[in-house]
Amino acid sequence: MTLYIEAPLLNVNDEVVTLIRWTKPARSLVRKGEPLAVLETSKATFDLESPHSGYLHAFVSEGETVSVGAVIAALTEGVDEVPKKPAAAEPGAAAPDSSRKITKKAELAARKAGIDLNVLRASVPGEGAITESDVSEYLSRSVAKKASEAPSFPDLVDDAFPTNRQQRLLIIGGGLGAVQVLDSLARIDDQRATAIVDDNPELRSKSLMGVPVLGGQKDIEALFAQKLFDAAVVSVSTSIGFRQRMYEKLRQLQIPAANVIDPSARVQRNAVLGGGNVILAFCHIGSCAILGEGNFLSPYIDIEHHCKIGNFCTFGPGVMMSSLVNVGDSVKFGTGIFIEPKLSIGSNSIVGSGAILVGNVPENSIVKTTMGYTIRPRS
Amino acid sequence: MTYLENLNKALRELLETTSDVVIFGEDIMDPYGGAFKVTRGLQRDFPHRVLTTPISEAALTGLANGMALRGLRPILEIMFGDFTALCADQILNHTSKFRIMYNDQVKVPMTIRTPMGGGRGYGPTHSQCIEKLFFGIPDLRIVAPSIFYEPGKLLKQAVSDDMPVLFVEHKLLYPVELMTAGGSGTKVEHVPHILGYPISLLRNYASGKPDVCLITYGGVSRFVPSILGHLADEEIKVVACVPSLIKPLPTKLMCEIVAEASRVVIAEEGTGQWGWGAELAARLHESLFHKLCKPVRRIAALQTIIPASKTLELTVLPTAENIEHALLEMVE
Repeated sequence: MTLYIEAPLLNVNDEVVTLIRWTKPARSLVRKGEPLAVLETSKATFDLESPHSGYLHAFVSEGETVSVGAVIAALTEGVDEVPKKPAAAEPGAAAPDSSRKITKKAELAARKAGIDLNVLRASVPGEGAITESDVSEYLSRSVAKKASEAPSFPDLVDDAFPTNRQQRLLIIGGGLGAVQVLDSLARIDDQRATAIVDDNPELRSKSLMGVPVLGGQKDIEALFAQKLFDAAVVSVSTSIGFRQRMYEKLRQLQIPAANVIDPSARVQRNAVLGGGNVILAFCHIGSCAILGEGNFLSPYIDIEHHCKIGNFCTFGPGVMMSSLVNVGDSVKFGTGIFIEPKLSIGSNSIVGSGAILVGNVPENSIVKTTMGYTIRPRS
Repeated sequence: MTYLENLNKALRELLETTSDVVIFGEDIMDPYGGAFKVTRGLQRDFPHRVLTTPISEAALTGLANGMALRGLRPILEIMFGDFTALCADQILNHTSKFRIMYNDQVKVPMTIRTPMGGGRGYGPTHSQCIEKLFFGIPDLRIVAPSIFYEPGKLLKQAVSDDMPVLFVEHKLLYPVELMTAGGSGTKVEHVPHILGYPISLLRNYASGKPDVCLITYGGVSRFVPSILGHLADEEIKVVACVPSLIKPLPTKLMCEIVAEASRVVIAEEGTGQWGWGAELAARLHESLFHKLCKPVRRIAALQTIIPASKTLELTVLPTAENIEHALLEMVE
């Protein structure tokens, strides 16, 4: 058996060693433990002892500098054996990945749009890596394809003249606001939801509390043309801008905006309501109060008598408003707010949770309370 | 030109052009030329200004203090960064204090050069990045050159600096070719800093807003080109911010870059707790609380000693893979 001898690591600082001289002649018998060669590092010289007995075959000349770990000699059992110098190991070529590469950015975009990665791989032409722009192209192609196909909606046509005809509602937005609106509608006798539209593709052909999601914003006109609903309501409480845009769009399409008022809410005499307001459980709209359009009232809102509320305001739960308060448009209220009588709150303002308003709020203001409290572990 | 060649050249030029410069340290006499050969050839050519010394780091630092107080510009080499603990009292209670204690009547323009860092199997006491021990000391500057800006230029700046400078090299960078002009697909920009130590910005994209920012310094800079290359293949836009002055922190520019990316990973080779990244994360948090869309992520060495086995070292020290993985997680 042939034993190979490698240049040892003699000093961690050095990656090379220099062979000063062989202390045994070539093809001579070397016994285990005998000095074989003198090596030099940057710090010292060193006698290399033979790790084994055998006949010496040197691969490195005197004065030559080699890397640590390089084979410098071989010891053979027979004097006439000629050992082969082992070739340096070739780094193994990594097996090519059989599936087509999708860049991380493209993968994130595809996942966000709910596209199956294998479908994507199959439908993007070419063989290079699939990029973010491939995904957006794929998306616009599939949207265009859907639009070119005739819309096919499930048969939802009501009897033309039922005696207990309910107003059929389209719910715009299929999120948490829609859950609250549908919950109230379940207890309202003269209204029912027939369809939901939402631009989130993951909701397509699913249903929410038994009401099917039939498309996105762009399908509203077609659904109305098919007489699948009589009026629409926007269920999105979180975005005032979105509600405003949607009601403007409905007005352009001449689609009526419906109020959804929970049966446990009370609207007193001579109160006047515009369209598209969502008024959830236990709200109180005092007599002669005026509410514009597109407002979203969470539970337990008290709009006292002779108050005037503009359009597209959002109320968190528990906003208590005394009489004769005048609120502008697009005002956002947090949770648990008290408002003194006769105050004015300007448009586009935000009133943070816990505020107690005793003075007027100009337009475009933010009201923030800074009541502090501490939380500590129970001892 | 390699990091080491660039430093050696700068030291030689300093000796040639500045008569106040004196270089000393252990084992720097030729032909040995220092444990890492940074000073090789200098003692031979400047035998009266390049001095090899006994093994006593505290005394050497004190000697440098005296030289600097009396008008010289000493450059002290500490053979391993791990040994700077022996210099700590001099640096903390003397070097950095004299100027203020003597009401600006004296200055201490000295430079302490030392290699930090692991990756060579030198074991627990010769592989550390312990610059953090000095981060809290006022009136001391700490400079850590990367591969993106000539270390020799920074060394010249440190020597001409009237403040004391701890100059932290990294032993794995010595044989690395400098990449001051960037590489394939990576743009490098060197932003000047008021104290004279530029910040290198690297981008793996041509236009648009970065997805994530990587902040690192010194030895970790060797991973940056491959990380930026891999993430460019994934269409992830990364801006890497590599300051050469690591203390005091050049926070203004860093905040601007991080605000643009709104996600940041900080990588350092020292242990993570109480480290550079911790201080930097706090500063970013103070300035950018509303502009970050994810919490600051830190990558650092594990809170333990560095093994002598090179294989085990990889499990303790930060790697290019760790950093790349963290950057990918940030954008998901």
